[in-house]
This record gives sequence, structure tokens and C-alpha cells, in this order.
Amino acid sequence: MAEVSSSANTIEAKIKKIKKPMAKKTKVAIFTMLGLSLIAVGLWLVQKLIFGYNPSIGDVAGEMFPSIAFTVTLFGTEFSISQSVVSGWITVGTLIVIAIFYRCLLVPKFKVVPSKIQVLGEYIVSFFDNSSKSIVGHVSKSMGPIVFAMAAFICVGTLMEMLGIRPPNADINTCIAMAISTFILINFYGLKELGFKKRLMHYVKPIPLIGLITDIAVPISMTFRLFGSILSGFLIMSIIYSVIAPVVPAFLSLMFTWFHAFIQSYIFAILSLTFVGEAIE
Amino acid sequence: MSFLNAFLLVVDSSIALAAAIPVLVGLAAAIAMGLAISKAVEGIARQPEAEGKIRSTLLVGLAFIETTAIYGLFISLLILVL
Repeated sequence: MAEVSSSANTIEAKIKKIKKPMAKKTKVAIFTMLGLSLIAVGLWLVQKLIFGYNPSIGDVAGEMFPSIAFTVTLFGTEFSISQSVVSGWITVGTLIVIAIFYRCLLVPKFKVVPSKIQVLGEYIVSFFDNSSKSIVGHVSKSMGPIVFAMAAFICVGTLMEMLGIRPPNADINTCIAMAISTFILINFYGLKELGFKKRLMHYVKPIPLIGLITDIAVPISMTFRLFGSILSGFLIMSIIYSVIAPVVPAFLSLMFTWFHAFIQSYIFAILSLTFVGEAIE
Repeated sequence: MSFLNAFLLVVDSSIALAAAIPVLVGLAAAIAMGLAISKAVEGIARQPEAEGKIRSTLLVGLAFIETTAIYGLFISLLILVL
């Protein structure tokens, strides 16, 4: 009898233990949401009343293409620097700062029982390691980091939108550069792993010329996929910002900025891995 | 004057076309995505242990389907701009 009651007590205690942190978490989440929406309304009021910011939908059409941020005169010739270059370098700088911070401050403190931020880092790195190992096999040692860098650039560059900076991938030139670097990787590893003769054989072997068409289609489709999805998310968000400024964009940006950023970086990484894996087979 | 009228007609119809193309392409892409997702869900229900592989293949396939929709969007942008 005593044993039963004690076991019941422990079960109740367990339930209480399980229940309590969850309630705390939901409370914290609700208060954070309320606080963030209050901050959003406050920022909107400040924008409206102090800076007199009053955009219209007509401004959105001008945002379809990046404008020139500033011009530099070097050796007597003028170079015009577009917004995408500036935001691209801001993205790279942010990534470098995060990497240095992580390496110098957090990695020496790593333990066997990981802290939260260690779990996050280990999860991301092992995700790219494992997926590159399962797709490209023995060249995963170099492909994993390359693909991770590309995905980090796309993800952080798209999240720059939250700060009001134009994402670097909303410019077709950035996307072409990334797709061409993937194309170079595909051909480099194809030539390295299979040799010149075998690599050339895939142009004629199953059906002639279809390999050539595939090779041309890969960079084009990668370019337009990345460019189209990032630009459409950016345009939709700027329309929403210009129509309803307070609170609502905070929830919609979850769909059109965060979701896009993670899904597009994942898809770009996995597709580059798949194409390289096809080339070295 | 008739030339101007014809010009206006062309401009209006091109805007209508630019609005219509993404809608049609989105319809096709949505049907294709629905087919792909339904098959993937069936596969997961039949073999729950293959969920990871099915999910990654599904996402890559959805990316390819999405590309067609984005081509439509891109063409409509070209019509609007050029």
C-alpha cells in the first residue's frame, strides 16, 4: 500500500515537473510576442511621426531592380557600386564575425554535455556533413564546407531583409555567380574523379546531346529558382510593409522571409550536392 | 491617333498577360505539387521508416516543380519591364 502511494506520488511529481516548465515557456513566449508587437507599433509610430515615412505601392515597382548605392572613382574611371554588392559584403562580414565569435569564444568552452548553442552548432555542421556524405560520398570532405558556406550566405543574406537591407540574392548577378560556381564544381569534380575520357563520354553515351542540354540547363535553372523565389518574397514583403506597417509584417515575414531563407538555402545546398554526386558517379 | 490607340491596347494587353501567366503557371505547379505530396504521404504511411529519404527527395522534387512556377513569374516580370 505504501509502495503504491509512493509510486503514485512520484508519478504526480513527474507530471508536475513536466507540466511546470511548459507553462513557463508558453508564458515567456506570449510575453515575448506581446513585447515584440508593442516594439513594432512603437517603431512604426516613431517612423510615422518623427521621420514622416509614408511609402506607397508605387515605390515597390522601383525596388524590383537594385539601384546604385554609390560611385567610386579609381584611376580616373567611375565605378558604380550597386546595392547588392554592399549588402553582399555586409552579409559576408556578418558571417565572418559570427564565425570568429563562435570559434574564439564558444568552441574552447565545449563540453561533453553540450550547452544549447553548442547543440545548435553541432546540429548544423553534422547535418551538412551527413547529407554530403550520403550524396557525394568520398568528396564530402571538401563539398560539405563549400555547400555549407553557400547555404549560410543565402540564409543570412535573405534574413538581412529583416534589417531593411536589400537581400543580395534578389539580384540576378549574385544568383548567376553562385550557379556558375556550382557549375565549375560539378565539372571540376567530374573531371577529377572520372578522368577526361569518361567525363566526355556522358555527352554521347545514353542519348547523344542530352548531357550537353543538361549541362546548360543546370546553371540556368539554379539561377532562376534562387532569384525568382528570393525576389518574389522580397517584393511581397515590401508590398506588405508599404500597405500595413505595424505588427502584421512581423507575422507574415515568418512565411515570406524566414521560411524562404531556410528552404531556399537547403534546396540550393542539396541540389548542388545532387548534381556533383551525379557527375562523379 | 490610331497609332496611339493601338499602342495603349498593346500596353494594356501585355499587363493583362503578365497577370495571367503566373496564375496559370501557379495552377499547374499547385496540381503537380499536390500529386507529389500525396504520393509522398502515401509512401510514408506505408513505410514510416523511410521518412527521411522520402522527405529529402520530396523537397528536391518540389524545388524542381517550383522552378516552373518561377519561370512563369520571371516571364511576367520580363513582360512588365521590357
